[in-house]
Amino acid sequence: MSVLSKITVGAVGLAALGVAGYAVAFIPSPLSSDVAPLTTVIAPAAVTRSIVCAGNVVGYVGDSAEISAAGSATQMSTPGSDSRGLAMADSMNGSVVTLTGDSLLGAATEYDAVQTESVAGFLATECGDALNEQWLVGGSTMTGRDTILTISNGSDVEARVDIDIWGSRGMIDAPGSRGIVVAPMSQRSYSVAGFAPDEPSPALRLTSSGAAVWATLQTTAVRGLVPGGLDRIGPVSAPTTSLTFPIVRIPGEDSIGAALIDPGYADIMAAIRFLAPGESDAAVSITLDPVGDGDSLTIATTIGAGSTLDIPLSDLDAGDWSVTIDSDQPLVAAVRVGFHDPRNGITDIAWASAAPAQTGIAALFVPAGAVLGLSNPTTNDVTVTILSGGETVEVVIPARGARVLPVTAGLVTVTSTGNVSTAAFVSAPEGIATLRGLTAPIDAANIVIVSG
Amino acid sequence: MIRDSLAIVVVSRRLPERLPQLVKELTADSVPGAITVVNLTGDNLALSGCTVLTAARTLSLSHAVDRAIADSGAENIWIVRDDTRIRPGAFAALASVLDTSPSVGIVGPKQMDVDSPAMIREMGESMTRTGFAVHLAERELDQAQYDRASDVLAVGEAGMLVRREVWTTLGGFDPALPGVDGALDFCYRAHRAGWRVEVVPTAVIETQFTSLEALAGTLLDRRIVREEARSRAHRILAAGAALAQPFLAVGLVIGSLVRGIGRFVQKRRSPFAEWRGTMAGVFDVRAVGRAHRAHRRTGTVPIDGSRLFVSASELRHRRGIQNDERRALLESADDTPRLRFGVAALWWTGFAALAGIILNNRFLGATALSGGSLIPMPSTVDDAWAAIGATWSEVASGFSGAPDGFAALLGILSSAFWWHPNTLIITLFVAAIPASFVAGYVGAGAVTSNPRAALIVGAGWALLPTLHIAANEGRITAVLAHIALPLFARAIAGSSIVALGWASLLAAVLWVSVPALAPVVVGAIIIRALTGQPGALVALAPALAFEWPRLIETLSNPVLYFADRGVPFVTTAPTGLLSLTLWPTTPSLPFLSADIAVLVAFALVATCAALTVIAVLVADNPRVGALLALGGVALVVWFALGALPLSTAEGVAVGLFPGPLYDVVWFGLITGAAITIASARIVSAVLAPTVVTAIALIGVVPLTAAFAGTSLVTPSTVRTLPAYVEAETAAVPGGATLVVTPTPEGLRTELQRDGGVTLVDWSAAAATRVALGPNEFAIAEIAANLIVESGFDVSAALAEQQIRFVLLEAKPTATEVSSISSHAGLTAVGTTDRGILWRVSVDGTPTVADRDSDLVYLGILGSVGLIAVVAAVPTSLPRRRVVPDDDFPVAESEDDDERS
Repeated sequence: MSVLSKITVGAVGLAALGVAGYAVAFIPSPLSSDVAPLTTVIAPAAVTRSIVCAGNVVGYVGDSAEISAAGSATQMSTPGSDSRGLAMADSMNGSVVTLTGDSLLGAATEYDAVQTESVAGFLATECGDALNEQWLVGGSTMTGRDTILTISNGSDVEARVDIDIWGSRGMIDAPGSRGIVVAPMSQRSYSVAGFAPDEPSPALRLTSSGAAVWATLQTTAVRGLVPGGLDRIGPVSAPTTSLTFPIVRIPGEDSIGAALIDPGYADIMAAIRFLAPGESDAAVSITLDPVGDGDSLTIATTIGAGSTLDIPLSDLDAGDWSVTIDSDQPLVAAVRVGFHDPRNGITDIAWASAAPAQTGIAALFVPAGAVLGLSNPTTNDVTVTILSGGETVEVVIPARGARVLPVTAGLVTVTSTGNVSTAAFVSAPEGIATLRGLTAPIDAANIVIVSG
Repeated sequence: MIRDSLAIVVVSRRLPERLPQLVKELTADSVPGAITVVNLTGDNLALSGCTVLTAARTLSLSHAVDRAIADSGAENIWIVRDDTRIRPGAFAALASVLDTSPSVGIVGPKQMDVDSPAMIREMGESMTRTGFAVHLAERELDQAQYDRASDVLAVGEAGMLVRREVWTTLGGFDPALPGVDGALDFCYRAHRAGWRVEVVPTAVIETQFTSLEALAGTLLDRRIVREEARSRAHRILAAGAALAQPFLAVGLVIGSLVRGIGRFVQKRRSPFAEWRGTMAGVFDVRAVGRAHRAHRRTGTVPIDGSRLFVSASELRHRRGIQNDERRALLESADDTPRLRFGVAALWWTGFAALAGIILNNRFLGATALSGGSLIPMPSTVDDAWAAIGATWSEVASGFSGAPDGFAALLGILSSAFWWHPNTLIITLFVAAIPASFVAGYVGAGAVTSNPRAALIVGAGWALLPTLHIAANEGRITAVLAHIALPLFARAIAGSSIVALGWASLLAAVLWVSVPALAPVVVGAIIIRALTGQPGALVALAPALAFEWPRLIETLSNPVLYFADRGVPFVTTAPTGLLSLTLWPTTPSLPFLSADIAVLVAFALVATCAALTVIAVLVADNPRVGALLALGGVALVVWFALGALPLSTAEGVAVGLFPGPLYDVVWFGLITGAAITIASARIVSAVLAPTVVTAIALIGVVPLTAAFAGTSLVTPSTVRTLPAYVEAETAAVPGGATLVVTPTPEGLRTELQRDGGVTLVDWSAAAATRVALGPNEFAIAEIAANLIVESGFDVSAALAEQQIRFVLLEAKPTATEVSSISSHAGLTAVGTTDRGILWRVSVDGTPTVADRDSDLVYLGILGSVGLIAVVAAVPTSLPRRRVVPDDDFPVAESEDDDERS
């Protein structure tokens, strides 16, 4: 082979490489394949959604060492649903509301106004889908305060629950908080004071293996001999870096001002309780937006990891506010507001758990005297359709904005195209309460299955 | 006196025209006695001075002698063939020995070659203790070196002088040995009957033919081997004890078969001729029986084997000489300069091995590796073998399709690690760096014989990001292809059968590991076929034997054929212009931004390309051009398929991993650059380390990923399912586990049988399926109903699918846990390392899935593979003679010209 032809071969090779390189860089492939991920949408047969309700207001009735029902809560639930009672000690208290069919519309709410010598106030709490992990923030176990944890197992499977408790001085080593067995279709109640005595700011995590459970905290206050303050706190499923409280009603000076003179009433002052359960301190930014006119307030602070912290919301103007908390670490939080009627001396508090941001249909039942708060934590406007009392209203929640709407007692459904948080604030003559609107944990009618 | 009573028998079969001259020579040497010519030519013979007897052409020499002496009373017979030339004094010398030694029954002369009269053709015969006939002197220049010999085991038939008493007592030659060893056997029997046999060095005749040639003319080598083997079998059985005969027969057949296989492996011609001859001899029972009786009738005296047989040491000596001759002949024909694996290369291999061990130290002592595209191999080699040719696979909830070539390859390779197949993977990953160095070095021999250039190629090949990104993503297919590619280039550039064998095996490894390389492999083989080695086309056979079912299956949608093998794993390779960085992912460098890293990667490619252009234009090496053209083919494949989804995994469409395709381009560029650098003598001392360091630095992130722990591949356990499932399915095999993984969109479901899906279970047919497999809808329905409280009879559906376990890949606190627990028939086992496990309560034992092996596939693969392996077995010893190559500056330029 001559030198010239050798060079020719080399040049042909170079040219082939060059042309192929040009094609790779600049020409799209003319071919196509039919490959795509294999997904199937399945509608499971006869899905049953079970919503667990904690039941009546509970307490140590008379001299009893057992916790038992101290009132008779009213339950509102979706028509067509079926309610079964849960065993508590030797009576029945809470219930599980099951709905077979369009499970997205399943919802239930309990409310009660109690006026006894040890418990006085108003509560209204949504019932919810049982959870395997849940966080409860609120209450107090100081003198005169009682906080009762109620764990409800509405399934046919036994639940084995571990409780972790944090307080203002860090995690609390609580005897008997591990391996609590909750039998199928039953309830157990514990005084949190038994685990964490004299704790001003408890926060709890319940992890259940086996059946999922619905846990609530009921907190009551007796100042001297005067009972005043009742609420029930619902759980959130996990710490997050963004928390929303769509509606918090700050009472005016004319309402609680008189009471606050007495130091025993300090806990009716509005406050936010935080817990950053991780390893790192959380840098948080608390944004308080007044509903209607007014300027937003932003508070930046650091929450120490591993212990609860109550930040009082003093100096806020009276009115409805929406609270948004952003953090660099996952955290849980709850907002407390107080109520005092100087005319009849009724004092009450309400603890609001964070309302999760959800897309789709959130349903809740509201008692009389409720307003609906909607909050959009996203950076896009979200259109929401609200059905209440047979009327449909469509509103646009602006990005990072909130709306408050009047609603009539009964079922309220909130259908959103983007993530919104839904809550209601109830003002009754006997006191105040907050409710959250929760979506079904999964869209059980359309389950997307990816094969492989 | 012999002279007084002699019958001279001339047997004429092939050279009747020599007869007048022969008669003249006999007369001139004044040999007394009547000459009887037995005419076996089939023609009429007119000859004066002798008696001519005409007989059938098929008559043997022995029978011809019988015919000739039938009417004669002579007491001695001198047997002469028509191809014999009698030298003066031959008869006298023979006769004098017979005269003076009454115990000698047979004497024979020294036979010289007619064509070269100074060469000994034959002078006495013997055999080994195992019955192989041996000429005591053969084809040697006569320097009187054998003239002291007298007592021998046998003499040849030509010129044999035998007492008639001996002849008639023994009945002449064995009729079963007309062509080969008739005289040997006859003399052997004479010894047994108490006679001695002597060769007389002073009696010299010349012969033209061997006894077989005299009988049957010029024959093919294999016919000769066959006849000799037949004769040996016959002789051994005839002489052996009656009771020992069956054992001897079996031993003969097995021995000849083993030697035949040996010859087959050595790629000799007609390897099984000896075996066929032995069979013919062993099964000629009647002839053996007759000969055996003859032996027993006349054999009375034991043979003094120590004196008459050829000793083992003598035999070794003879074989050594033969091998030396053959090797010298081969080497004299081999004058191409070849790249040698020298001391420097060994040192570098050592360094590479050390680097591999240090960088992959996490993998040492692991029981298995997994991560990225890698999942463990099965725990037993049986399970790995079961994948070879399997048409049913447990992936995709049970899927039937064409047998997967890569699974077959893994099954075959794991045989080397039969005690623990996962060792194959660990070894491959730890040895990837040194193996790539060796592959690169050896592969460079395809285009250069310069060791310096080869060192650069080897080092570059071991450091390339294409290798290390593939390793970090667990792409065992790409790692295998990276190692095999340069070796394939070297093998296909060779011209011997061994090289072709290796080329075919390596082509198969490349092809089945990375089907996208198939066009490159075919291109290389076609180029080789067009450039003087048309037989190179057979190198495609093993690859096709692995892949034909899959090729046929994908005829309807051919692009799917090129999907990566093994477990599909999402690739992050950029397409378009960024492809030309030849990085199988976006280039990254420590401390530098992505944009700068891309520029640096481009700069490396551009530098190598520029140096390659110099190699093409200045060093005028056409093979570099061929490599670059193949790189072009690889880029065309990437152009056509790069952006396409070819398979799906975990709900994501997976495209091609371009590493092996870039490897083809890199090999052309690196060898080109290395040739240029190595040929620039003065600067190469600086430039070579610079380029290697540059490649190492640019690829440092993927290179050190395993060391830094950023590699996706990590040591793992062999099992892929929880230990509880493994233990239970080991006790009751066949049960399936439904694996449910919650995802943001919904759920991912997967069915795994027994201990879980392993690397060999993935078939291309399942990975590239475009519709749900036969059971997948049912599985999806079960999963959707499991995670809600539904009225669906989950337990019956689970039983129907033979599902014995449900595994939820989530935390124990996931919402799905209680929904799954709410279904009747499921018992929670607890939390495992992979998630929450339930046991399905069903009666009855599950049926064990049959992998449904394709026997036709196994047969074709087995036979083609065996031939390729045998072809690849090296037969030549290392070169003893140094062929000058361009190690010497003066010879360098000349060598390049001579090479092609």
